[in-house]
Amino acid sequence: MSEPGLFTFPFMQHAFLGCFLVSLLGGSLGWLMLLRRQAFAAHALPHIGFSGAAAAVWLHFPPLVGMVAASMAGGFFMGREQQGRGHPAQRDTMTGLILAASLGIGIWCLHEANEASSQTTTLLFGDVLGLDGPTLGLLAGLVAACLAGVALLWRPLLFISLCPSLAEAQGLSSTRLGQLFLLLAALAAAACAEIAGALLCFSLMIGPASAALKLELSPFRGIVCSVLGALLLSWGGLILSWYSNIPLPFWISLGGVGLYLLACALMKGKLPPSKIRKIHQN
Amino acid sequence: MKGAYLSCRGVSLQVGRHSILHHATLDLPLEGLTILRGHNGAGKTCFLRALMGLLPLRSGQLLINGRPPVKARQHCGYMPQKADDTAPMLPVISHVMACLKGTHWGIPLPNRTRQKAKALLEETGALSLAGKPLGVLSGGERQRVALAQTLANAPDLLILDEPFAALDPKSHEALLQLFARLHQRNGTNLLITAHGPLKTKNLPLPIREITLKEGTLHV
Repeated sequence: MSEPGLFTFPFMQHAFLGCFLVSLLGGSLGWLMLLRRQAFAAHALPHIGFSGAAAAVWLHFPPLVGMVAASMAGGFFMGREQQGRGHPAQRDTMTGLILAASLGIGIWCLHEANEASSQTTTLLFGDVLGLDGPTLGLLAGLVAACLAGVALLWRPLLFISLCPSLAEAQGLSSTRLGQLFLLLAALAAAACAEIAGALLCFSLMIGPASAALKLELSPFRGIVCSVLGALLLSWGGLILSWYSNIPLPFWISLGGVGLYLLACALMKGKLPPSKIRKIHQN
Repeated sequence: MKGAYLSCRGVSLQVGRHSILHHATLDLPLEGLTILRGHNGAGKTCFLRALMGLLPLRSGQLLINGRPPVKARQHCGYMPQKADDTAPMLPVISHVMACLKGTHWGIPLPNRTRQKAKALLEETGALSLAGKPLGVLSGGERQRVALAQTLANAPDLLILDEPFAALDPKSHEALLQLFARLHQRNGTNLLITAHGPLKTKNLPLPIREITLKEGTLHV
């Protein structure tokens, strides 16, 4: 008798659908975050969300709700710090402080809710195979809201990310836009963490996006490439984890590095070494 | 031809403890090319930033074409001394496209925006650079791209901070010719800062020099 296929189980169908949704988000928001040099924020947001989820577990709310609320609060305060060109160190300091404070609160919440310690593992490492219909519905809503927000902010966000001096001279506020963008990024991080876990969800945001940026593509093509890369990682990881019995985040994180190395190899033959040096110097 | 003038009424501008302008009052036509001179640290960049509404005045009123800077800047193009280099890996055309109606909400129509960006690059003689990553350009090439970005909102007045910095003499002349072409074709007026001598003698546009010295603008 032959083994049942991947798609015969409803939980696998849900997992593939969930991976598709978060790939849309992780790929697009991750590309924008890397473009804006906010990789540290991409790392911090899901960890901050983890604390919110821990608080939600303690207070008997759904973890995703706590994760979204805490990520958004973190994103809001991180965005309050000036996003301008002159203050990258200040911005990272604020991100680091918020991250440290939220992890401390998260540990306290988990301590208070120690009867639900199995949920801690789920929050940290994700539970893609445990996605049910209502959670998928919530994820779809988050994805739709985030993508609509990105579409609305697209022009000013790209303008201020690529040409901050000109954008400010035209009256755009880097602080306000940065704040709005980090709120969207927080939503995206919370959604991605549901699949890949708080510890590794940023690999889904950063891995494919870094490869897409390395390929020197225009913004539209870069985001398409990043989303496809995220889809390849999440679906590919799902299939590999099914056959290998190794957790999905392992495949996603290593796959992200693999994608970046592949992009480096592709670009190495494209430019003369002097030009490559010049890009790296910049 | 579009007119342009600058009006200062008791303007004081200060950055930290450094006084840039001290109760300056003057009316200055900005027709053609106006060159702002002054030694290093005189405050030329700060003055230009104040004109764009990026630096608040300590007192007084500054008007460009009768409007305060925050309203007039929609009709001004600003090129900073050091061009933005935040995403050197993206192609030049994307950097110019981002400046076209960049303050509007939503997603632009890509084909139309691309055509406009190409037209701007052609105007500044940088069309051949459209597909290159920004990070591999030379100083002169980067300057031409920056000028194309500055022209994106079809400004009446171009405010350029040290546009000749890091350019060789041949590129100086080419850039001056480009300024003259912009003025003749589009009626664009220019206010620039410069240090060294410029070969402006045969340029077909009105030229005026002003100097910022010890908190006063000398016309």
